Formats: sequence, structure tokens, C-alpha cells
Amino acid sequence: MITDKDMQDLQKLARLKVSDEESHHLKDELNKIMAYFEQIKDLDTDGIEELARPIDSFNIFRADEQIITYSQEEALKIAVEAEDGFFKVPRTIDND
Amino acid sequence: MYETVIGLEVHLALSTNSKMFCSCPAESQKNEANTASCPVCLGLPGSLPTINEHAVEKGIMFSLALDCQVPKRTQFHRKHYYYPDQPKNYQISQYDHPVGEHGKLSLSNGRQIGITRCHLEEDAGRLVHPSYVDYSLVDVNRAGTALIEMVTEPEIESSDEAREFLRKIRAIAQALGISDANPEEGKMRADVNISLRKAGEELGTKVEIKNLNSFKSVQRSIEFEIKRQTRILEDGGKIRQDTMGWDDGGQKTYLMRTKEGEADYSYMPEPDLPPLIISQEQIKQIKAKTPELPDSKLARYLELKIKEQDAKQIAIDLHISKFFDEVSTSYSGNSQTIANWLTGDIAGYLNNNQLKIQETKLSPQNLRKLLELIDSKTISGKVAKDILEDVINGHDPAKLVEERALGQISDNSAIIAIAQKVIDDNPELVERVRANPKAINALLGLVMRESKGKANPELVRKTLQDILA
Repeated sequence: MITDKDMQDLQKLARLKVSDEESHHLKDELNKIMAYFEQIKDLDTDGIEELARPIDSFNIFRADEQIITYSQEEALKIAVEAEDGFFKVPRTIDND
Repeated sequence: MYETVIGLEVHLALSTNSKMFCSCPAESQKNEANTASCPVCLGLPGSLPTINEHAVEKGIMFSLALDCQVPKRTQFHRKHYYYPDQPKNYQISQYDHPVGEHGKLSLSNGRQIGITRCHLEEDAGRLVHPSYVDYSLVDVNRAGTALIEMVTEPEIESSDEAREFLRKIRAIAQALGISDANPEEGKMRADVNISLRKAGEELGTKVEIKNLNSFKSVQRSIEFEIKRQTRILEDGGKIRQDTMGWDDGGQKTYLMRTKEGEADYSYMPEPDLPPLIISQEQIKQIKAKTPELPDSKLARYLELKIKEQDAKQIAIDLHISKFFDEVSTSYSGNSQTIANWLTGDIAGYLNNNQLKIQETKLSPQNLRKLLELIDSKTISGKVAKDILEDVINGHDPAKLVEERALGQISDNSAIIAIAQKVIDDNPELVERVRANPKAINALLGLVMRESKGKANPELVRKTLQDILA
């Protein structure tokens, strides 16, 4: 069961701010999803190998060669804000 | 008193042309910001990563050099965290099947440090924090470049051992050519896990010191933490499991954040990358092209009867050892002579001028010629030292000796003339020599001075003895 404390932790990890009402609603939704997984957990999976990928392929490599794709201007087109050729983001440290 | 328990995590930037999972240029940290990116390393929807073949090969080579077991099957995982230096919001790393496990590295005091694992991963971008503003800036040039991370068992017991361990790792990485392993350029970064305990007790709570970018800061931060933690424990306090940074200016550690548990990273197998099956054949091929490691060079030099201190100094430096080997194969004299010059006057010159041997124009051929000029008594050791700087700057010593007429005078008649003049000018010294043959050195010194140091001293001594006999 996901608790209110779990909701607080999740918000912190996801860097999201939600209202108490939203949090309550999301908690119910998440608990429904968790319930599905509880059902899956009941299945006997002993001796069954992990399947992380739907396609059974291996050893696909790329040669170590350079290709220049985006210029600085092209890269920064997706930036919400940019400055001096950099992506501009909320400050990540406290000190100056 | 407390025992110190240290584990290290070392990140090495792999020397590759392109990034770990896309074809963007890998070596672009010095370029203008955000000039090496593509949909993959920017984390754009629908883009798919691909595995750099060279990076995997280098990772396996490094793992084997550290005596790791390389598994038959390895795979990549996503490690989730939200931080603007990582555009995808996860880092592709390795988790349950890293490229190497259970290795070891020996220190000079005979202790063996266990290597828990080596795993391949991608680096994050670079954050810049301008002063007095409320934002940070991101450069993604480094995001997605290939790293190998190496983790040790908590078996290092002092700051000196930690420093030696890092030096050895750097020497191995450079010898293999898998990484420049240069801490100043961010090509080698270390995290330190450190705890204290009373002898025989269980491991204490560890503190992690992140992102140390010089061997000196590793050593100093360990020394600082030992003092800090000792003080807390002595006062009956408890160590908190914190992540610390190192303040190089203030020479102290500072609190970065309290540790998030491993589960918070929500590791999951990377669904966009296939697993890798590593065959015995492939391991054999990689072993076959693995260059000689520093420890093997050291053994070879000790067999050449080179003094241990010198042998160590040469073996640990890729370029000095290459240089030594090249001189050694063509020089017929004593190997220790080469070592003396490399670890003595040449090392002194390089140190004074903040240079590395590969940054100078000194060639193995010219050093060999210089040594041969001394061996053949064409020049004295003193003259050789005088012209060393010019030889390091690319001049051919044989030509220098010829142009500057530095060759020793081995012509008998010339030496007899000078010796006769000195004897005639110094009758009282001659009397002293007749009374005490050991005083001949005084006359010899005068002849040498008169010849501007070019006379062959042995010949001078013999000539003086002949005249006075």
C-alpha cells in the first residue's frame, strides 16, 4: 500500500509539487496499479528466466566513428531558455 | 585508536572517438558548449542508443588487467535520477552483470586490494554556476561519453595506500591506452568511502566523498575525514551516512546531501540495448593485443639490475618506460646508466620546466648518442650535463660536440704541452707532489682548468706522472 509518506517521497524524487487533493487522488490511482502487480506477484515464476527485452538479440555494436549531428544553434532550439550557448536551468547549488 | 577502512570508486574517461551510445564526438569538452549532441544524448523521444564497440573492448581489457572475471553475458541498466546534467533523466550504466568482477591489485607493501567490479557507463553533462544569479547553465558535450567505473572492496587502510592505488590504476589505464587518466582534465575522478572502527569490530558508518579530481585531494580529504570522524566518535557521537564534497580552498570536507537509498534509482534492464555475449575467443583476442603492464615492466627492469627505486619510477610512467626501452635496445652500455640519466638530470629538467618527456624534442637516439660520447671518452660527464638542455631541445649531441669543439683532448702532444707549462709555472706545487704523490690532484686540476675541462683526465694524470718521474 502506498502511504501519504510514500507520496511525499515520490514527489521529492520526481521534483513535482502537487496539492493535497491531487496527491490523494494520485495515491488512489497508484494503489490500483500496485494491486495489479500484487496479482502478478502471486504467479509462480520459479525457474523462469528474466525477460527484459521482447526481442531475443545480442551483440549489436556500432563502430566507434564520429558523426556531428547538431550545431549549437540546433541543439538549443529545444531549450526553454538558453544563454551564451548553454541551456539555462533552475540553480542546482546554494553557494555562489 | 581507530582503524581506517577505505573503499574507492574510480571513474576513467575511456579514450574513444565517439560517445558510449551515440556517434557524437567524445573529445569535445574543450570545445564551445553544446556543439556535440544528437537526439540520443539529448534524450529526445523516439531516439535509440547503440553500443560503441571500442568502449566495450577497452572495458574488457581494463577488467582483465585488474584480474577481474569477465562474465559470459553482460548487459546495461537504466539508473534513474533527476538532475539537469542528465537530459534523459536516467544514466545508462551496468548493474547485475558488469563487464568485470572479483579482481585484485597489489600494492608495494604486498597488500592486495580486492576489485569488486568494473562497469561501463555514460558520463553526465557539465553544469556551470555563474555568480550571483538564480540559475545554472548546462553543456551537454560530455553527456553520454564513455566511462569505466571501478569499485574496490573496503580494504584500503590509509591515505598513502589510497594514493598509491590511484597511481597504479592511472599507470595501468595509460599503459593499456584505454584512458588518458588525467585527473586535471577530469579524465580520472575518484569517490572515497571512508569509515572508522575499533580493531576487531564491525564496519562503521561510512561517509562518501564525491568527485575528487586530484590524487592530492583524495589524500587530504581522507586525512581530514579521519580527524573529523575520530573527534565525533571520541565525543561519543555517531557518524551520519552522508555524501560530502571536498573544499580544496578550505582543505575540508563539506556536507553535500544525505544519501538516497539504492532503490531510489529504480534500476531496470535497458530495454533498448541487447545484452552482450562475450566469448572465450574474444577474450583471447583482447588478451593478445593487451600492451605490457607496469608491474611486468618493473620485473623486467629489476632483471636488468636497475636499482629498485629507479625501476619503479620508470615503469610507472608510460612515456618514460617507452623511452627507456627504446634507448635500451640500441645502447650497448649499462642499463643503469640510462636509468641514472632518466631519473636524475632529465627528470630534474622536466620537473623544473613542468614538462613531460613526450612534450620535449628529446629522442631516444640522441640520448643514446650522448651516452656513447661519454663511454668513448669523447666528452666528459660534465660536458654531457652542460649540453643536456640542448639535447633535450632536439639537438644532435655529436654535432654539438663538433660545432663547439667540446671533444676531450686525447692528443698526447697537446696535453704534454699544457702539463709542461703548468709544471714550469708552479715549482712549489711540484715540490709538494714529489714529497707526496697524492698531491698530484692539485696539478691535475690546473691542467684541466687550462684545457677548459676538455683534457681527458686519465691521460693528464698519466702525462704528469711521466714528466715528474
